[in-house]
Amino acid sequence: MLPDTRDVILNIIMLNYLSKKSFELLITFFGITLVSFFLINLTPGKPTDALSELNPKMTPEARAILEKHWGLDKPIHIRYGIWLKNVSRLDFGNSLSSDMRPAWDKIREKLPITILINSIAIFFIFLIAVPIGIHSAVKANSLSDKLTTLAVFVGFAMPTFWLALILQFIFGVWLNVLPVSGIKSLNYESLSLLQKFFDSTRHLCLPIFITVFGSLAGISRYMRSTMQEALSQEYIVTARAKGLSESKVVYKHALRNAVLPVITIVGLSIPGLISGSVIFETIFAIPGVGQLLYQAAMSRDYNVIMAEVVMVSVLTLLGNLLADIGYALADPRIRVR
Amino acid sequence: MNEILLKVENLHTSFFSDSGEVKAVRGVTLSLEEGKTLGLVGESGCGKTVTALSIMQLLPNNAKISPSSRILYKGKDLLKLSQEEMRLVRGREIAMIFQEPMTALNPVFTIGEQIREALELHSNLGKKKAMDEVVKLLELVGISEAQKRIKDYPHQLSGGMRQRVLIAMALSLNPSLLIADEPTTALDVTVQAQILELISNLQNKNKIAIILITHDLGVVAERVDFVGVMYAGAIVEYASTKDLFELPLHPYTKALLDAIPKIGGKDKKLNTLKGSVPPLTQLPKGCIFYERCVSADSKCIQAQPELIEVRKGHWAACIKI
Amino acid sequence: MFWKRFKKNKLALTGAILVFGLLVIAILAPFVSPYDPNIINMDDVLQAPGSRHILGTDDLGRDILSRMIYGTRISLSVGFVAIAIATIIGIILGSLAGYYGKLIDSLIMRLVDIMLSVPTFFLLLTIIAIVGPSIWIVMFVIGLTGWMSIARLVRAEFLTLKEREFVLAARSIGASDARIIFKHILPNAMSPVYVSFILGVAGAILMESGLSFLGFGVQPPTPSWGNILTAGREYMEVAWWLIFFPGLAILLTCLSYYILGEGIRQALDPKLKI
Repeated sequence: MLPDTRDVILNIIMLNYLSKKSFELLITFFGITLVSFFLINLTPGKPTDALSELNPKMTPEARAILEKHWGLDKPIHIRYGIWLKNVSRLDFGNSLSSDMRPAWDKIREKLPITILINSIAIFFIFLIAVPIGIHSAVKANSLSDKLTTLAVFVGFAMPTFWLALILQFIFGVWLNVLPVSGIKSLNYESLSLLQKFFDSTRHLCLPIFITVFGSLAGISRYMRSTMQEALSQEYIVTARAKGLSESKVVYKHALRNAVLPVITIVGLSIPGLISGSVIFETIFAIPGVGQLLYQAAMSRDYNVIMAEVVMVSVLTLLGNLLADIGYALADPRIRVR
Repeated sequence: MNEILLKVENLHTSFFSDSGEVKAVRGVTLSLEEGKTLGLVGESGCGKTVTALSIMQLLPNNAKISPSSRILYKGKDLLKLSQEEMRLVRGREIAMIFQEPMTALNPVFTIGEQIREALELHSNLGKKKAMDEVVKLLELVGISEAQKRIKDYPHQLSGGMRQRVLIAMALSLNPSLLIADEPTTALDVTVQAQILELISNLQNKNKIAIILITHDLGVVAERVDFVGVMYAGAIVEYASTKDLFELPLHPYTKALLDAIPKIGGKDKKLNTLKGSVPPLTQLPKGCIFYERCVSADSKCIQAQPELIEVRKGHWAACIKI
Repeated sequence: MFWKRFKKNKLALTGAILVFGLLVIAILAPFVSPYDPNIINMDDVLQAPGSRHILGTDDLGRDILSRMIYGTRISLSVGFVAIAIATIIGIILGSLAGYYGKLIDSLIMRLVDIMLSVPTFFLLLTIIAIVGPSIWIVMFVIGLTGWMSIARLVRAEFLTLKEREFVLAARSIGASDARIIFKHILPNAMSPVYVSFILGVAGAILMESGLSFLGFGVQPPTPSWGNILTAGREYMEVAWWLIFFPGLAILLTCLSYYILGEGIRQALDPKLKI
């Protein structure tokens, strides 16, 4: 059977759309690395400062040799070029900390746990925020909407690191029911598979809760506004006029239009989520990329920092691309033009 | 003998906002026989659409219908129905089509799906059969290659096509009453005539009563049996189309008729109405048309004129007649 | 109209009163705080909240309430200065993009996209780590990484306003671009900026407290809500008040700003989208 010509044309349009998007994202990627590289490298102070502060034997001559060795004597645009060339081969240089390992290796081993926590968190954020948003939009200006709004503001205003400490205190110190740091117990290796699972869950539930909490307010608020927007459209009156039940009007006609913009939020929320990781991974002693960044920043480990920036940017852009694909698949106005 | 299908008695609808109460519809009374057409004419904001939405009970949340109002459909007061009962009336008895075919269709569903969904409400066809029915409906409203078109999304169709889709959707419910709210205003002139023609044909075939809402008396002239002229939320004149055009009574109706360009007419210029409708938050004690009326005098500001039967079946609200 | 609607909104009024109250406390800190915030008193170490020290004392016997009152000064000034910087950058770039359009617009908007995808918190930490933490650096970098939403809002306003008659009139009598931008369009484009400013203050306060908590912000002994928390973390198990009250202060302060911002938004224009 021949494929329908319409479908073929459709696929071509889709491909066009996505290649255009990918090109835009590539430009953005260069922009991000450019901005980050220049900001970090033009800030007064050098990587060698950290070493010389800690090491009184470091003479100016030794410092100059070290700078030459790291290529710090060259002008900044040349350094950016060299750096970019190396990055294309996934070579971010070695960590400047005492272990001197390749920066990329350090990130690679810490990435899974951060991604795991954030993915689970994103799942729950949507699971909770979308119904909250729908509910307050449908019941706009009712008492429950007003209470939800107040709760959302509390969510916005909440310093999550403080909430993390309070929860640590309540569950770890006071009730003593949850572990407050790390990702596994000391006896982890001796546990059965099921026990391992429960052990990890117990360790991760506070960090995940904090991450979810941090984004809940924003996403539910956004969902509320897109839902309200959708409900005020004329096609909703049409849907009601033909006698559809209220649940069909809300959950079919309005929701389908309202979730589309929310899809795009996933991509944009990645930098925020990973920033949050810096704080909660530090508080809960979770060996992820957030904690690594904290340590790298503390020790001015430039190569690791830039590798982290690139890693987060790539994740963000990937998130954007996925969101665009999702959007294009869900919205016929983009899919079929 | 035709029976009365719809009877609206003393309908008052108000909107409530920060700045107070807006009396959008003030005491509208009208009736419509089975299979007949009623035209509701007036400037934008005169309460035509609000009257229609009141009948359908699709008003926004900040609107209220006064408890003394009655909307009798086949003898039953629609205002006393529960939401669920009203939903069934909307699905099976009264259908509505809208001014903006651009925004009245949901952009993320195919038109086939949107019609099928309406069809499903009052028939237990299987999905396949329902789709066949949708194709038939689309052919009925004059959409060619209907089999292909059902997979289209609204943005792929022209304005006229979309209005046809909306009409097909309304027809799928097999209603006894169709409310058409400015169905041609947003369309090109050439398409306007086609759509009105389509509505008339379908009416004759299916014996549907129609309320045709428009700001254009010209549209009304050929296609409706009765006309209600609305001004600032009230009906100021009500008559058969013939009577109204032959002998308009209310000064506002006269002004509207003067504003229609006539082919071969001697008038060099069209008379357009000066001024605008007064704010519906603070109503004057007297006649609301006073400010813009050419034949007003001091008696007009003393009390609001009642709608009275001047000749048989010809009602007007003006004390000067 | 604005005041009428604003006064009707109880939540917004509450926010305004709280914000004003905090401002007074910050200004009058030396007069309202019961103790010197930096006086170490080894006889009064880790006292629970009581009659002598309403919110207790820390590990050096310093009065928590007094330290928090002085911390108000830090938090509010960081919040205001940082957002003032962000607002100025945002207004300038947003006006240029909206007014000139075309290439300038696409360049600036591309920069906005880039800045929104940059992990700004990473950069913040890094820059502060390199330069060394200080309150000025914190204000500056928060401002430098927080202007994008304001630029977008101003640009959107400019896009609609520049087609308006009064702008065309000004242009037809030969007014300079700068005059049209600053004198004619900008004053009309400020509504969303005011709201954004108020909400931004809360955001900056949260950011500052987070940075201070990680040790990248205001440095002890200067008290800030964030660093009181950090110091208290070690004693969390024996002295809950060390972490409880500073966090509560951050929460309530930011909440007041958010409520005030929402109230202003509703009073200016209920349809305004921020």
